[in-house]
Amino acid sequence: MTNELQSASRRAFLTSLTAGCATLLSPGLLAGDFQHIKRRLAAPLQAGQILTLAQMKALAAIADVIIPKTDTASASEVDVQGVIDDQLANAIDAAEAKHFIDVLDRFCLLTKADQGDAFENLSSAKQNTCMAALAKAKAPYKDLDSHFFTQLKSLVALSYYSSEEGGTRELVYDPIPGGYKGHFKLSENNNRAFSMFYF
Amino acid sequence: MIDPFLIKKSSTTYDAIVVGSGIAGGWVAKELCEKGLNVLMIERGRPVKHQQDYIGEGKAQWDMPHRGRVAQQLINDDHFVARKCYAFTDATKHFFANDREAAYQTAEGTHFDWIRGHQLGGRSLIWHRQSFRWSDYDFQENLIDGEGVDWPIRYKDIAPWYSHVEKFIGISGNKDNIATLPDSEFLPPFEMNALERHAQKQIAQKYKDRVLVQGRCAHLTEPTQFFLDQGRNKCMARNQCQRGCSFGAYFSTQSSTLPAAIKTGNLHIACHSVVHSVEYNNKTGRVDRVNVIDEQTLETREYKANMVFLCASTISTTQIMLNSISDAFPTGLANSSGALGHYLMDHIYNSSATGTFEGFEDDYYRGQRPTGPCVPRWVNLGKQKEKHSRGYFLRGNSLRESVSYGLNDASFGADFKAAMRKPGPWKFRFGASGEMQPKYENHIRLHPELKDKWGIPQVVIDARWGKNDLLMMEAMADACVEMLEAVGAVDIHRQITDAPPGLAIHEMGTARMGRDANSSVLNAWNQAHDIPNLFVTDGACMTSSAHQNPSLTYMALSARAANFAADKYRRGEL
Ligand SMILES: Cc1cc2nc3c(=O)[nH]c(=O)nc-3n(C[C@H](O)[C@H](O)[C@H](O)COP(=O)(O)OP(=O)(O)OC[C@H]3O[C@@H](n4cnc5c(N)ncnc54)[C@H](O)[C@@H]3O)c2cc1C
Repeated sequence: MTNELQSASRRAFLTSLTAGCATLLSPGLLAGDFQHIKRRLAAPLQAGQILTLAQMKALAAIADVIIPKTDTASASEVDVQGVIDDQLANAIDAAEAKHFIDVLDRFCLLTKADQGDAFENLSSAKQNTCMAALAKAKAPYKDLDSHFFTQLKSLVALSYYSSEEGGTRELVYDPIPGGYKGHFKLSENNNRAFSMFYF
Repeated sequence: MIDPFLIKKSSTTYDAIVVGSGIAGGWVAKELCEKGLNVLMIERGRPVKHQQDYIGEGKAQWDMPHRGRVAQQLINDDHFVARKCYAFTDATKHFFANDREAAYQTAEGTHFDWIRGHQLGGRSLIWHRQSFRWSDYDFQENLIDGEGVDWPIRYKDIAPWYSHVEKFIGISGNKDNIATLPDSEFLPPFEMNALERHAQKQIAQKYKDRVLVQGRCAHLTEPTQFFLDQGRNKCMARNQCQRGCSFGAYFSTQSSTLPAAIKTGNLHIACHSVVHSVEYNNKTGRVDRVNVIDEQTLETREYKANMVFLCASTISTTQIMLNSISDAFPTGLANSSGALGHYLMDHIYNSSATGTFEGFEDDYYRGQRPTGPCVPRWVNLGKQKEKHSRGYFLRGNSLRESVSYGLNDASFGADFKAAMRKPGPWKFRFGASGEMQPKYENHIRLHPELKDKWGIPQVVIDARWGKNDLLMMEAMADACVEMLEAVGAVDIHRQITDAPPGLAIHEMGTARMGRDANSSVLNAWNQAHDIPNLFVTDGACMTSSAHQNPSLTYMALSARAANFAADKYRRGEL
């Protein structure tokens, strides 16, 4: 079959898929048009399924330090805290989730004791200082579970890059590549990685 | 398309009953139907319709509950075994059996993860589709170290049937002319990426006995008109196969054998029908009925036929046979040899190594390929030279990670976000696939008291790695490291997991083929030595496990046995 025919049958097939399967991709994505995706403004923070309002506030602020707003949305703007809350409530082993929340609380307490205010109320410079101390297990976080930073960062990053914003605007979303190309340069991809399934 | 062919009760005596609609059952049904036989396929699970019932297909992760992870509650309740399978996600979970309802046991001190798919199509929907022929070395392996009996067939007996099935299902691969991995009837191979091309050259320069070749898989890379006419299309390299593929780009019962069988008008399908046992008629010396329990209502019914093919998958088929007791066969159907239930095998997947590469920074790839290159077997050819007997091959995978590579350092903030736009450094992983020896003590039996949801005695699986298997794990891990060093990887991590058998998901044996009715259950045609109109063509029939993924061999054996049986039946000899 010629390439032309192949792409014609692929197009026809995609149309039939969208007609037949409610689950498939939106027409905009099929056309490769990702620009229409508007940045989603996060709803006002509320208590989550497992996290309290205070924990959600802290997590949103922490997430924004790890993935701040640039030319794309920040972590909290795409509701990373809500995704993490959902993961902790439903998808992560209950004992692990409890441990994570306990350490999060401890982090918040240590920060308040050290800085005189809750993490989310600190200036951006102070938040960065706290996060750098946590990442390197320095005071006041020396005795905190040494895996906490990696767990936190992983949950924030995976939640962000598995969001529509992270997956299609930060990275290249290519749901139907049309076949595998082994001869392909990163520069052909605007020097960007393809987004993957992260969880 | 399948609706008109679904039946519930029937008083018809079919020419043949095929139990199971997975890879083996699909092939047997197609061949028998095409030979003009009136066939009933009995399947314990629900009907799954091609395209229509692939409910997880094409979903973006942000549209999935829990971003694609399965809820812990559901895992704890119903999928505590399936969760260990790498392919088990929110988008595929409906194609994995309910571990609570279809309960099984493992013997004390042993463990076996039994991954099952209970629906029309079986695990043909969720398999990984890696498809390699066995070679003559493999069929003679039992003779060399004396474990297991000799296969009653050789490569030449099965080679035409490999061709037969490959031409129909479509296998992508390169003609490599390797004695331990004979070529299939290939569609073009998937391309290698830059790092793999580099590795291929390095290995060619450094070794006389080893090469790196592209993996072979049941995917349509460049479908010919033959496939397009069946409504099957080119692989889009989404690597979401296990959700079901509406392109029909990979082989499954739904995309390939079922439509062919249905087209003949000779197929009927009884879904929601859990086979309890097969009835042996003492007077005729033949099987003539299959007892079924309704999967939903638990009502019993029976179906009649002139011959029966058991294709319920290795352990399930033997469970049915062990549960089919008669005066003539008090320890299980066709079990005069006493071999039924014994010589359970899996592949040894425990050993691997991963390394990193510097450079190749502007090299990337597009799409997610459903296979990766491999180093075909080079050890112990024809006789044992290593500490362990038998052999293995190495399956490779090279990629650049996205995001996950940046999670373990102390970075965060705008710099971290900017860095994550790029893919990570190249990684290359070799994972070995080794041959497990067939051992009498590795077996399944029925629990004397415990029953599953349908009142069928639960299987007890009693299997463990043997001394040779453990020796091979060490050798395979060393080989993975050696090959990574040879191709220039750095920061190499060697790994041997302590996973028990099961998770390679290549369970084989328990109703083996053999030359001698005193030591095997089936003859060279997958026909029971004891009962002429009973055939077993799934993995239960395997006499040894070789090191290659087995399903292509099940397909070839199934097609071969079905044609043998149909010809005999037509001549009135069966
Ligand atoms: C994630 C995964 C990856 C895999 N990758 C590969 C690979 O790359 N290459 C390879 O060669 N193999 C692979 N396999 C293994 C492959 O799936 C099996 O070898 C193959 O499906 C076996 O075919 P089968 O027909 O014997 O069994 P199945 O495909 O399991 O079909 C058996 C059918 O019988 C039905 N059944 C069972 N019990 C009864 C009963 N009592 N009554 C009625 N019906 C019953 C089941 O519901 C099922 O539909 C993989 C498996 C999995 C799960």
